[in-house]
Amino acid sequence: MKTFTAPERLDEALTLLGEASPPTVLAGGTDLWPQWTATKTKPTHVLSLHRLEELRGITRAGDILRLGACVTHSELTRSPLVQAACPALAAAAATVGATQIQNRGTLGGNLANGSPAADLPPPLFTANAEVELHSRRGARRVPITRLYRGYRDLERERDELLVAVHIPALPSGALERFWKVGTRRAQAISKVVGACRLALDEKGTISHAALAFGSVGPVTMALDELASWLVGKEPTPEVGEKAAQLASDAVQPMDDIRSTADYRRHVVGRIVKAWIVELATLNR
Amino acid sequence: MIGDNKRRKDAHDKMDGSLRYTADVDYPGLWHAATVRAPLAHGRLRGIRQGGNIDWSKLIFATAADIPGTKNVRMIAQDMPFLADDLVRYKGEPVAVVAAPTRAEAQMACRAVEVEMEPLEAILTLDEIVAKHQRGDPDLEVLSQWSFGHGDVEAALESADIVVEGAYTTPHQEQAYLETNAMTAIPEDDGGVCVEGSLQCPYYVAPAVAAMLDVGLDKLHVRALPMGGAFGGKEDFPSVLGGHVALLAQKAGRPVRIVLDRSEDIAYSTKRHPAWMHIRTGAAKDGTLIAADIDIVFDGGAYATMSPVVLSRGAIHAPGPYRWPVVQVRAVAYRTHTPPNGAFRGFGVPQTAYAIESHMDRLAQVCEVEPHTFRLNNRLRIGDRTGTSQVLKDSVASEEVLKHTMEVTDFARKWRKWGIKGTDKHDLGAPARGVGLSFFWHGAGFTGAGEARIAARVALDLVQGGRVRIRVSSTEMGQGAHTVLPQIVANALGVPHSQVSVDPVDTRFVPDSGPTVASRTTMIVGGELEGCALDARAWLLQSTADKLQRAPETLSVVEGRLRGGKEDLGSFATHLQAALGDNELKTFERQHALAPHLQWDEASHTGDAYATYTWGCCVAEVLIHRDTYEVEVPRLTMVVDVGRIINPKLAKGQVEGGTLQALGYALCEEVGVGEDGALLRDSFQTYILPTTLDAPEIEVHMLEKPYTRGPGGAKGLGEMPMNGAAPALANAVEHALGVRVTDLPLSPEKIFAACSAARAGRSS
Ligand SMILES: Cc1cc2nc3c(=O)[nH]c(=O)nc-3n(C[C@H](O)[C@H](O)[C@H](O)COP(=O)(O)OP(=O)(O)OC[C@H]3O[C@@H](n4cnc5c(N)ncnc54)[C@H](O)[C@@H]3O)c2cc1C
Repeated sequence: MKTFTAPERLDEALTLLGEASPPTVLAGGTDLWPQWTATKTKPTHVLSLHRLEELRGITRAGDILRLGACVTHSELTRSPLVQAACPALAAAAATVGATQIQNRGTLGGNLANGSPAADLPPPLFTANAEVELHSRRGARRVPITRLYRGYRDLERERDELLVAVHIPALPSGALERFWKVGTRRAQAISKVVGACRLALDEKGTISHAALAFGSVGPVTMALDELASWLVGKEPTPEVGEKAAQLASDAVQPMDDIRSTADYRRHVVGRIVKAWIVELATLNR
Repeated sequence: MIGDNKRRKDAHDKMDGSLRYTADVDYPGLWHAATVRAPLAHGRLRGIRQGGNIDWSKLIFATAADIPGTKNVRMIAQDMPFLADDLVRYKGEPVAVVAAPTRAEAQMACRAVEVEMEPLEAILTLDEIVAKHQRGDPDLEVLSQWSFGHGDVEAALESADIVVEGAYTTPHQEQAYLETNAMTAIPEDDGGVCVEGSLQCPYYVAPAVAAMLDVGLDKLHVRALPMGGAFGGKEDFPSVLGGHVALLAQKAGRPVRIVLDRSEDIAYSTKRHPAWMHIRTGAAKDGTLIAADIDIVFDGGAYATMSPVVLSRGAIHAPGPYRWPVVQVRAVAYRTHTPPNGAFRGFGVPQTAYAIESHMDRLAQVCEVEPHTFRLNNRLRIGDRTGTSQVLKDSVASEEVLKHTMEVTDFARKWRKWGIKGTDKHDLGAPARGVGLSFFWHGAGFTGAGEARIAARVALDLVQGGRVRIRVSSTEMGQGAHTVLPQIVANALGVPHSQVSVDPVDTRFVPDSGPTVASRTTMIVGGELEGCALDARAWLLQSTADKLQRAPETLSVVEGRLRGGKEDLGSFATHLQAALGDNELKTFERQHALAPHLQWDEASHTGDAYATYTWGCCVAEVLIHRDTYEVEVPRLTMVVDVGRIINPKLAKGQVEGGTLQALGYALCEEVGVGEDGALLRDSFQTYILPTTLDAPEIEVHMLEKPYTRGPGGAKGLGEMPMNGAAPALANAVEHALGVRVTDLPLSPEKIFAACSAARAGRSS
């Protein structure tokens, strides 16, 4: 590593990122460092985000929760604001690595790294969150569901910095769940990771549905067709079973070093079924 | 003293971080080594070109051609080259080594070397060799084989009411010590070389490296430095690395060190042998065993190295701790083009124990006898004959461990209540619950005539000032040997533990007490040291008695003081000074010999395979998620007989650690072999070890069935805990779900596949 810059002002950071050969952005370093070790390479210029105030903090304005990109997993886990507005995200952050990784790893790093097995995207998908990207050219918002174009291919230009994530808060009475099946009980990368946001109307039929899964395709997958199919239905065991089938069919898992495609399809279905069964209990 | 929780002598320095491991020791002018590795799994070397933008004149580069002496590593079988010369037999096999001022430069230089190979067909997996083995394919290369037994198996199986047949497979396992392999070679002023590092067996490394350098053992000595774990992974492998650094150090005329990084260590150092075991058994209707026919295939990897002895131990334990009127075992290790498999805690037994104990549950089921009763009825007893026709004479705790296990775990009641056929009502929302039992044994010390061949020598120095120093080649790798051996000596001598220490292990100063392996250190080395301590005590009492003109029988040493009955005669140090006179110290030596009644024929594998055995039982409780098939293990209970407990806390630590290692083997650890012959999961991200959150509550119960020739009655302990958990967990999973997974690890994916297959079978 030849140059290490840690600006205090966002515009300084954006200027650096706008240069012809922009520096490598470093947040918690928990993804970058292992990559450097594995490839036995180090970047020549590193831009550290740790002094940028704009990238910190958890605030809520009305129904929107704003999370700075450098908020850590530990902060997400412990924040009452996050627990109330997006409980699945708080739950997801609590499953990342273990304590040390949670203390260092950040929301922005988790999203920008672009791993299809990352644990934070599914709850952000189901909450319909937006990410705020800044560059010298200006700022824009991208729905998280459009952030991932393909395997590790992000809707983010080289000069853009992920500054914040905006999350519509969970409406009262709605159900939000997170489920991770990892390779073990800590320090585990997901074999399957999923989240849902589901709501019933006063008649007991499903009025809102959003479901997303990671580690079952090249990118985090929103099960939109299943969600539309669910809306207007009652959460009966039969609907749950059919939904499980639809979910298993919708995902595109592979056999890899962590698990098998068959197992992943099966587990996705069982998770969906369990959520529908739980949703039904909201009625009683 | 024996039976006390003496604090580990290395505890303080490990806690405050002052203990220096191999990579921490500084030498002026030290260079660092890295390895050039073969790009293909099998083929002929056609060229090694030092390319790249590298000034090679500033580095040291060595290939097989630079080796002055023996090109192969001296081990059990001497078939593995230090550096591949012509034939390459696994991907990543060392073909050259480089030394440079920094590790990064050395690694960069290695990457600039182009290795050209002419490919040959490679055999990579256990599945391939098993398929060929079953076809009788002559392509297979036998690295080692043994067969033994007694009686006509075919006739006996013919006569049996019940015959059950099954095949079981186990994967590679990585030792996963915290400290990766590391070795340093230091040229010395007298023209000799010192090789030091993280190694279990200094007297394996010394002759291997001396032969490679073509120097006498007076010109080469080996120091074992503090170790961050080994588990067998530093038994034979350090000889290879020691050779590499010694070669470079001699060429460079300066100290050279190699430290493997984690992925290199996992990918290229020795693993537990993958194994396939095919078992045919016959029993009478009432569940009495009639015959066992056992066919074993081990994946030896590219070279024989330790395979003959690992295979032998695995095979000897394969029939389990049961009385078989007729038994035949055939075991063979074949070559595959993957890194050589070698020593790992348990040494072949975890594989065969998993197979036979899974199989015994199945046999019990067919015989309609409960698993614990089945084992109790068929257990080996005093006077029984083992597979090698050894007649057991003493220290057989089979009944005690089984009965104690039933008592402390309430196994029978849980087994009847839980499980897919249990009496408990099944709530489909709750996890499936099961309980499983395994019963196992482990021969203590080297197999057969091994201890006679080693003829372990130990020395004990009584030094002016009252210090007592142990000199042995047995190393401290975290298991507590250098705390327990002083406990044995202090106990026999009558001095406080703090007064006894173990000298640094350096082949220049310590005799060859044998390798630190095979659960032999406490029992064999400790036993001889106890003898030395008793000799020393007798000598001191005799000398004191002469001076005081008393009968030596009236004197004793208690807590570092000499006593005549109740009368205090002064400190041990004072009387030692008087006895030593002008001498600085007095040395007591002993050498181990096999008990004369032990008979062993290696070729036919018949006779007394071990001087004694330890006995154990494991009970595993599982909760299996009905949607994801994740296995939670709330509790594992181990009941083990170790003869005599020297240090309860350390002994318990051995059992807990081994059990957790076995849990990983059973549930999640798997290296895997890629299509190109590379080991697939070469990091702790992908090679899944259990974390503290995956660790169950491990309940340890220890029984003491003394062995007359062990110190205070102690038998070996280190390896046995590795044998129990895998089969107990396999049996518990079967109990919970009614499906049996016959290949480790019992991953959720395999349990799911087995359940799906069972469902499909039921509905068709
Ligand atoms: C032992 C271990 C366990 C782990 N377990 C898990 C797990 O269970 N689940 C999981 O999802 N992940 C896991 N991870 C991965 C990692 O910890 C997380 O993805 C973490 O959130 C990454 O954040 P970071 O701040 O450390 O990212 P960094 O390593 O700093 O950066 C990651 C990538 O994002 C880019 N980047 C970072 N911040 C920004 C930004 N604001 N704008 C633009 N680009 C940016 C960087 O340039 C880099 O490419 C684990 C990692 C380790 C080492």
